Amino acid sequence: MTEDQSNQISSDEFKKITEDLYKKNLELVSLNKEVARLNNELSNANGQLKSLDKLKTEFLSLASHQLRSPLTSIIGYTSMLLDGSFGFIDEKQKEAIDRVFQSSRHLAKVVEDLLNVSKIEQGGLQYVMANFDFEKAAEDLVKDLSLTAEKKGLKMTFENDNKAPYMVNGDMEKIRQVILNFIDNSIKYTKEGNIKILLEKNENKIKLSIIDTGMGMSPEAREKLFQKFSRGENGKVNTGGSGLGLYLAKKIIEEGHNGKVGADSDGVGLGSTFWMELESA
Amino acid sequence: METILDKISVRIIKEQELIIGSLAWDEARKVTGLKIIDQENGVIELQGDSKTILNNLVAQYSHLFGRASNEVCREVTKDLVKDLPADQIPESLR
Repeated sequence: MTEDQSNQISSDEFKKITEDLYKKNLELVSLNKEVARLNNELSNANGQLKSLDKLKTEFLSLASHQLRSPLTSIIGYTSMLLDGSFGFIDEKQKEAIDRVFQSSRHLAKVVEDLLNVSKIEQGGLQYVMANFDFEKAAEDLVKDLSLTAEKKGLKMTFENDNKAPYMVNGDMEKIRQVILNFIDNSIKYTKEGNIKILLEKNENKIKLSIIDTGMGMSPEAREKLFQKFSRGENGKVNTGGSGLGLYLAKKIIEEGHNGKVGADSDGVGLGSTFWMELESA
Repeated sequence: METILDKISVRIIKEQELIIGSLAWDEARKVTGLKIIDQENGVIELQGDSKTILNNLVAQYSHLFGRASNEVCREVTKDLVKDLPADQIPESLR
């Protein structure tokens, strides 16, 4: 082999290496362009989603406010009709007006829930924090709802673990709403048997459990429980709820009070336990 | 005024720059008739037979980096080339 031949081989090899490197670089450039394109698409989609979300929240708030006033009027007047403020009404009329009254109250609750959801999503839900007797708040609610439970033939009891006081720092009104929601749900989803409300204290935590012998739930249903518009086992049970109560409960207790909420069940038909945990004051 | 062939040249150099860096401009400078007026803003001037200069530009890259670079030049100028009359299309970009 001559010196020239040796150089030519070397030059060919060099050219091959250069070409290979060029091709690799080309691949990288193509990939980069694709990544940039996808990022751009993602960014646009994200922007659109944010706009839609904002619109939805604003609409929720506006709609709820618009519905509130007429509902208050309906509830007020039907209540007055029922208590005889406008004169005597016969049984048939009473039954009819009572239906209107109950439906309006339910609708008002749904509107209130929607309003609270929109406030939470806009970051505008205010909490009025103060120390209060958690046991008394829970017991009062149990007393208020015991008649409803009795009408369904359910036995409802309240117990504690004798570690009084059970003081909590929080927004009493909103926490009461959560307890009410849990007990109300238990009554709705329990056809027969009993409901036990248990209050416990461990170190610096206070836990309230609502244990029922109701319809229970599957693990799949349990996962979706605290999400927006969740409505019981496959949404089949028509209990007239808005599907927002548990979502709000989670937001109020976890985001508003640094607490925890949860639900347990051994399965469909085997009862449920809904619980909430807060720091003791 | 910038002609289509001027735009095509700039497009080729910039695309090659993405792959091989500033070497793209160094190689473009070696092409007779291609004058780089403002590299940063991608302003060039073709002084002479534009079709021949373009063919030489493509060949300059092809000489170093092989057929793959030809493909790059063709691909990146497709949309501009389709607006050219057939007799003005450089052979290397057909």
